[in-house]
Amino acid sequence: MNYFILLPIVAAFLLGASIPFQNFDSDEKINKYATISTFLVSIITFIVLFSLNGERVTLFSFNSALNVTFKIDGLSTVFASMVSFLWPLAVIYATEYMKHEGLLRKFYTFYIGNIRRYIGYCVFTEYAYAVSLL
Amino acid sequence: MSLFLAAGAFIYKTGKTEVKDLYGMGQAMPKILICFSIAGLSLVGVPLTAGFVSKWYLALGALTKTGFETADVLGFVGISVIMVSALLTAGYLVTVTAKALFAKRSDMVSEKCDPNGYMTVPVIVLTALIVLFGVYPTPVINFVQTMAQSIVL
Repeated sequence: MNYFILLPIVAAFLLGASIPFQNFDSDEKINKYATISTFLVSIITFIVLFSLNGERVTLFSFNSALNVTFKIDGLSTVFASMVSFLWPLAVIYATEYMKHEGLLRKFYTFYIGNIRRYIGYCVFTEYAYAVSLL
Repeated sequence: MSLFLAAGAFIYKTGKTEVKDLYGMGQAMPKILICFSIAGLSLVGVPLTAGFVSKWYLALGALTKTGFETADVLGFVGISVIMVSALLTAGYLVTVTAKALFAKRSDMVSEKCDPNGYMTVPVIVLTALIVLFGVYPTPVINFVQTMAQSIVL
């Protein structure tokens, strides 16, 4: 089992969840952190997608019908690639757009944290479990 | 997505949220509105845009499924739906785009107010990809076909 499949999900979660606990002097620094984090998660995702295609990892196995399994197949590669390509573009756009909205910390915490959801949905084998767990 | 970002840029710069406020803004926000127009044309399915390629493959799929020689009614219904949706999209997008680019404003917004690079670059990149994949879709189609085959097999 190759647990590296989980790397983009874990990285996105950690990078997003750490924002409220960090001391940013200015909005510019939050923007920079969010941009770098998003690009980092995207690069990790691309590496994982194209190096571990066909791999699957089962986190929990309650019984034969109830498994929490992540798998990278063709469809997950297509959709996770789309997410990984569009997310960095959107973060560049948000750098300017969010200036008048304020609340950058909250926004980027959810924004970066949400990448894990979308990538997670792509590589999860059971959508119902994905909704409850991710 | 390009359309969404372009609309967001327009709202951000002008603070206006109604379609009629877009009319005549072509001179003030040329980059954003040119991208908006190209993305709109792609949504309609105009050739040389990515939207045309996707509609083409949808139509081809509808016929291939049933076989062109013995295509049953369902295949042609599918194509008709695609064509009608393209016409409806043209109806609500092309008119807006044409008025946005070519109409004259009564309040004469003359100075350029395109947003800065942070907002413009993502819109331009996405629009460039719309054109690129419309002109040369082979890499994307090969990629998707390879992935689709790995699921089917």
